[in-house]
Amino acid sequence: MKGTRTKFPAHLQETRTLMSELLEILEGGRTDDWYSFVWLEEKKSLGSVAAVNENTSESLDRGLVFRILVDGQNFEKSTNKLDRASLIEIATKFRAEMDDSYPAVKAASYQPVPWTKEDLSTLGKDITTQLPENLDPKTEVHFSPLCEENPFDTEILTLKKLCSSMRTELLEKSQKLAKDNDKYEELAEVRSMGRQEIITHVFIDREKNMSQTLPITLLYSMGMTKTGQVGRCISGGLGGLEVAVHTESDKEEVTLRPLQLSIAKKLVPGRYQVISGPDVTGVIAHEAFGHTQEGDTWMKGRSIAQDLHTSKTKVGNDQASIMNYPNMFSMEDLSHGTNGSYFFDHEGELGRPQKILDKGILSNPMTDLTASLRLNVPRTANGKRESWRRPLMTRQTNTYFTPGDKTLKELIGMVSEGYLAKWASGGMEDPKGGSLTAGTSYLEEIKDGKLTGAIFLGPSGGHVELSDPVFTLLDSIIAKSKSVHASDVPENKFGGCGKYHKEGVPAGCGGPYILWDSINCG
Amino acid sequence: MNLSNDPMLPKLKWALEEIKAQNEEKFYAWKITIQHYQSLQTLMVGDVGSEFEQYQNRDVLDHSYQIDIYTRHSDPIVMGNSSFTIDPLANLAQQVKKTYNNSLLVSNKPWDLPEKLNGEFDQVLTTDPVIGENITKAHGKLLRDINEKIKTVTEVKANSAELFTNLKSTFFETSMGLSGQKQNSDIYFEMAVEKLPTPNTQEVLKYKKAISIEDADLARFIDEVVEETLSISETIVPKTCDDSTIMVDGEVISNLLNDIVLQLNASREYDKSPFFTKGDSILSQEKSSDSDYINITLDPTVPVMALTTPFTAEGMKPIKAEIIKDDVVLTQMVGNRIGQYLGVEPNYISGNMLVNIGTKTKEELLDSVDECIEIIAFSSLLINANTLTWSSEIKLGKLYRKGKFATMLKGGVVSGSIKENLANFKFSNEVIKVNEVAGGFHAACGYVGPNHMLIKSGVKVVGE
Repeated sequence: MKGTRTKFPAHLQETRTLMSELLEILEGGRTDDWYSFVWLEEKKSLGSVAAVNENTSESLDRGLVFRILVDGQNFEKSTNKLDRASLIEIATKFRAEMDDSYPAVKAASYQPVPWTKEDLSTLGKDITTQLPENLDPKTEVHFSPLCEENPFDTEILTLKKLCSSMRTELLEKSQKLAKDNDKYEELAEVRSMGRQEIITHVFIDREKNMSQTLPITLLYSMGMTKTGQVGRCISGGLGGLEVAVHTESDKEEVTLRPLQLSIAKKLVPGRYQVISGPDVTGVIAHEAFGHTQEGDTWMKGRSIAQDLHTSKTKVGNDQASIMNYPNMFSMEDLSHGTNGSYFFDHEGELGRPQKILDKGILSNPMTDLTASLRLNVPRTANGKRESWRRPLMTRQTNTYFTPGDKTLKELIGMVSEGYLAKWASGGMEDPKGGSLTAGTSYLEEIKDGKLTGAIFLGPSGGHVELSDPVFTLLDSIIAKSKSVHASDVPENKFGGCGKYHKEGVPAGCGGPYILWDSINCG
Repeated sequence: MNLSNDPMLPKLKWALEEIKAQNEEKFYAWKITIQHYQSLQTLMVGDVGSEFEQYQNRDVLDHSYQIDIYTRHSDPIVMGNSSFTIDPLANLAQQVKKTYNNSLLVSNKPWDLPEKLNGEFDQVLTTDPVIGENITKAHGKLLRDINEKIKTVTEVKANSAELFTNLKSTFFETSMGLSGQKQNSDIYFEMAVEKLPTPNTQEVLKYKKAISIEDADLARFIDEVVEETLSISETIVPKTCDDSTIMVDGEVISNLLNDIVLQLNASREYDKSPFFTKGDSILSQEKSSDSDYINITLDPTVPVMALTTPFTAEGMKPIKAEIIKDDVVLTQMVGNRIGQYLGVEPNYISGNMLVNIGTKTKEELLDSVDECIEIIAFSSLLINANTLTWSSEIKLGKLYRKGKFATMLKGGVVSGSIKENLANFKFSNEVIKVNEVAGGFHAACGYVGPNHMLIKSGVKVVGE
């Protein structure tokens, strides 16, 4: 592990100090009746696009959420009017409304966990090494990941140079490919996009005063043919500019792959042996028992998992194990986390790894505070919101299949006729019905234990959907590739999730290469 | 709310003009956009025959400022542009200067920003007056109506629901002399319902998105969701078929046609993305003799629709026009900047899709084919905007044989190519409105057109 950790941004200190006053306005004298917290988020974004049409942008989005939980109901006011007078006015009005509506309450207030009762042994060194000594409710605790390049030093010019030089390199590569091979036309367009977001959260309740700075850096490139076949790559995650680096394999994916796809065959729909790469494996993990294990979905009676957990029904074979790992700050051979990693969730719950599926047996769900209280199950650090403008829900952080004991070469050698699926293209689950679909941009053919070099598009010329009932799928894992990570954390990819087609949040997902016995491909 | 009176506006203009005066040679123009957004959000859990129980109530106030700066620099001259979301608590001059510098890093082909309008803005209805008058009252009334309705429903279990009522005002002004303001309302309601007795493994999750309370008609929507839930029976996986006939609803039609329309946007031609131009057929194979044809008009003036607007993103008056007639493109949609890039006259065509309807009812269409899968819900319809291909798992479907219901379907993957699908299809004769407000997951879309479409070519199903 190398690099330095960024300090709490000084320009937010005044607001942080005010937040304690605001908390007192919200709950002073009523702490037995309700529970409150104040949440601040700031997202500073820099972006540059190198393309036929260039652009740069810079934005700052900062908002504050007031929360009061009373008698099982959460009430929130959110605003980006952050001057002292406005915030005090909103808090005071909010308090008056709640006093009017709840002169007395039916249930005792939720009592948050003080530092003295936190089990520090399960938090991981990235969290515990940043905790000051003699913690009390007023101690200002700040977390940030190790970064080799300080994200606060990044300027648009740096991103612009990164994108422009990458685009130039990729264009030259694609031109050479077309020149050297008659069957390929030059790419119609290559685009490179660099983006850095520095997200700072401040959470204050009656027991904790915490902040975290999460820099997320991304380099995305895309090559496209005249007919619209696309190759793309994403490099990045939690860290400074050092994480936004395309490998040679990434560059080939952008330049050569769209050319190959423009002359690719169409898949004959059917059931095939498939090896999924970390990207597709991750989508399956996220969709399979990721969404189904979200506590708010249990709470609403909308998940098949609750009954299966209660009855201890096995939903996959012994290889079917899935992790939820919010505080993941290294993986495989990389010393950074994904855009889904954080130290604490949006309700101040500290991150701890959780096995949500253990050798085919379901655990308790991932939770936010409300789901935890209503289901009477432990809290996990999965309370997230798209932004201060949106509601909080149980959301995934980093979801991945645990690794196995094979190499990729060994897995390919086990396939007599099948496909390798490396690049994800969306996915969706049905938590109630237990079905799943995961898209892959194309399939690479495997015959007699070797990749043939042939690639296939979906039956209609688009991406390929891999779809099956979740139980069938999780029972069909033959073998998994191993990890080189000291704690067996395989590669997780930069990703996002829209729960029921909205509420977009960062979510990493991944896992090893997995050989599936039979998947419906169409 | 009159945003032209925002006390921040003169300060922003002053800061912009100040930097402009200091950099006269390169600073070409500016644009200020102010948005005021209020959103009331209620998340609920439900049971049988009772009101929804609220577990999250949110009141969101978002007031934001954005500037865009355009520069002309270098030799030969190129044009730079950069946007910046202003922090009202930080130094304005520094933020403007930073945006100006960011703009100098961009080297696009120069274009002239519009200096005068192509006509007076139309007075169009973009807000439900009840929401515009008092969003809190409107949201409360909607919640009461939902609960009055749902507590009478005893045949199914409503597991959860979400109601969002939103109101957004937008004001813009440019240094070239253009300005305008509009207000938009929208309602989002979703409900997840399952059949009794529980537990079971089928759920109906439906969304209603509308601009006005009347169009949302949530009581009727709840009736429709209940009716659909009650129609669910045991499901099987569909059979694999290389040439299936399917029926899709208005929402799917709007998605498929919206991606066709997006390819008529002339900016795609300049960006080197796949595009259609005047005279192109939108089909990739020969038209079947008994197929309907596609006719689409874009109209920015239909009251309370998602793409109804008095001005375009460039600040010009949007124009209504027919863009596709009998499957052939009549014109691209050309804005000010792209018009100059491509050397064609801008036409500012934009708006909601008005699509021709068919002559038969949904039932008559189902009767007209030997076998048909009616898609009740896709798990996740993914359309590739470049190749115009699509696919999804079937979350729930119904199989019909000669118009008679045969069985419910679940699972399997359906895929298709829109250009092939449009070679042999039939629209139903009932009209529906679909509104999709722009968000992170969807392009904005307003659709007035047939409620059902029978697709008889270019559909593949992989199942059993």
